[in-house]
Amino acid sequence: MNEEPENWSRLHPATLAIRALERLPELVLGLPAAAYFIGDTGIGIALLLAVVGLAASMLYAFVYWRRFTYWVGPEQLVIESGIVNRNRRTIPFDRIQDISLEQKLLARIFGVSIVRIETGSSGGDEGELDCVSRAEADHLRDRIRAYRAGSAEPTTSAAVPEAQESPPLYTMHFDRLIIAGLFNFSLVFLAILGGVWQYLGSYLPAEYLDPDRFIGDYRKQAVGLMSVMSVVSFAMLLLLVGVVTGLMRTIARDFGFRLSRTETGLRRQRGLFTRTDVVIPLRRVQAGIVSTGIIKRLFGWRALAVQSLGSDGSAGTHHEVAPLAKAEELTPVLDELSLPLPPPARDFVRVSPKLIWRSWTQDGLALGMAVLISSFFWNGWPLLLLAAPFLLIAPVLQYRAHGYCFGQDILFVRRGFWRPRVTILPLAKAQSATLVRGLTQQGFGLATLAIGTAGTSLASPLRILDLEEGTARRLLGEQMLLD
Amino acid sequence: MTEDRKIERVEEIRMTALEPRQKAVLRIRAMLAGLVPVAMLSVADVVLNRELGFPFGWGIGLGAALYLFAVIVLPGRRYRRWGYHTGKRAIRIASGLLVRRETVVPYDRVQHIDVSRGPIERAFGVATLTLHTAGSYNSTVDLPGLAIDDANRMRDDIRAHISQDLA
Repeated sequence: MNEEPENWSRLHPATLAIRALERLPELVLGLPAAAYFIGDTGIGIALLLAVVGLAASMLYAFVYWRRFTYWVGPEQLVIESGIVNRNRRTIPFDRIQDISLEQKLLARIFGVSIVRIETGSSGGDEGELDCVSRAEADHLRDRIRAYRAGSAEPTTSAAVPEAQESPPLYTMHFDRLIIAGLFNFSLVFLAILGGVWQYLGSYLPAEYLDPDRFIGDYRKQAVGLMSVMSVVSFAMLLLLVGVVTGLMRTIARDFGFRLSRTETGLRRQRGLFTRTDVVIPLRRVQAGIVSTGIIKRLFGWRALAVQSLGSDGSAGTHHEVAPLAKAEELTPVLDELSLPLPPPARDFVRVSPKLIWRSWTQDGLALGMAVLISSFFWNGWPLLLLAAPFLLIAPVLQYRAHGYCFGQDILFVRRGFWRPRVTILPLAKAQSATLVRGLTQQGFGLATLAIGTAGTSLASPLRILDLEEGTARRLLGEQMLLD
Repeated sequence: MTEDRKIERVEEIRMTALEPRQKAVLRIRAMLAGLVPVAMLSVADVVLNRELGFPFGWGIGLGAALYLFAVIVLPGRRYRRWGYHTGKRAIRIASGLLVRRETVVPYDRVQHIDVSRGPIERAFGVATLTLHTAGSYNSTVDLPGLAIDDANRMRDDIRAHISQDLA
């Protein structure tokens, strides 16, 4: 390159402080382990090792920081990195699809932000600036946005719409956050507790955490106390833990949720500790997913997510754009996405009721096999039969919750009893369609229509289960407008 | 892709069958792929016979029977399940012996196209046409058993559709 730029920038120095602080917890947790393995020779050596380790990793971080430079040109972003093997990457603004900012708690304290740049070519985010100051991040984003706006409409090039805060399409206030949290009942806390327990357990001498040490002496009394009351109170405690966990998780993730419109897409900001700021380009949106829950539905609450074309197959391409909203709040968001609100459930066409028989046949055969095989070596095999009532009911519920509906060049598919959801797919975004007939389905004259969409989400691939074969064929041919 | 090979199928649309030579390709693949399970069953047979006193010959017999079935019967059936139809806007490909699939890929959704030929395919003068779509499901759709000229012609036709779309 001839035009060697002068004004190379470095990442924000606070990056180094963040790196150091991020390493600290490992150090603190690792110390007891080190002490344990070294034994009596002393905590001093353990400390020394830890300090040396920290210093080494900090030295590396410092050298890496020194050698990481970037330059924002008029039409491209250039990143040079690497300690020994230098790598120079040029990302033309034209190719930038997506810029998201992420601020973890430490980053917020230091007023810096991670900038992720996606060009939508191969895997993952192709450029990452970790971290730059918040002002620099905004500046970079505005610059790229202005360039793209300028290249789209050359007339309005000059004056940058400098962070012209458009009115939000959707926000979550605190009361809404609480309601969402209550619905997000979760027992993940217990799993984390278990994990911490194991983690500590592997560092501390075994007898410290041996439950028998605590329980052993009291076991007899404990068994005596194991009354109905204690079971009930335990269940209540679990419930409480679940509710509180759900609340905390929701507040941490969705605090200050704000969805607004930018020139090219939807911008979502959210998070209490880790603050993220993501732009979802409209033209990469493939489908909308309106979901609810069996209880949420009673209150008319819905969530809207979009399936967006990602550069890789990661789940990150499923973007929540409104976690909890009434239908009338969803309409403006859907309007921006050029997607219609799903029609009421009664407008959906049900699939063949033979779905129920097909499921019963398959599940019955599977259960029969399981019982037969386990009866050879397991006395408890009749327990398996407890599954039978569920297997009987589930297909009926599934059938009643499943259906499809065609709008103006749009396909709606609803599915799910516990978590009913409607996928809104513009037919122009259908990449392929496959009629699948398994063995049981062939017996019943049924076919499943699977529609390939770009990007992945909870609703991908989109399937309409167990249509009558003729209907499926007709949809494949005419309605899908594919043939 | 000559008219005389258009056959009426259970499906309402008339599908074009693959090159009959593809049957031989399927058969040779089955011969090669079957060697491993046959070897494993034979070893198991010998081991069980020596160590546990199982009657000799069960594993080998089973392996031989399955092998013959896979090599003699299955390739023909699988071959017959394959078919394709090139419509005005989309290609339709049917396949699958147990689970039957019929995939429709509109030409304007094709991202890029491969024509590939493995050593066995080369020996029999056939090729596989692979369509890549942007979908995460069906991201590649294979149509094997085309005469090499047919495959190249179809590739060019579909490519023409794509470039028209861009214009």
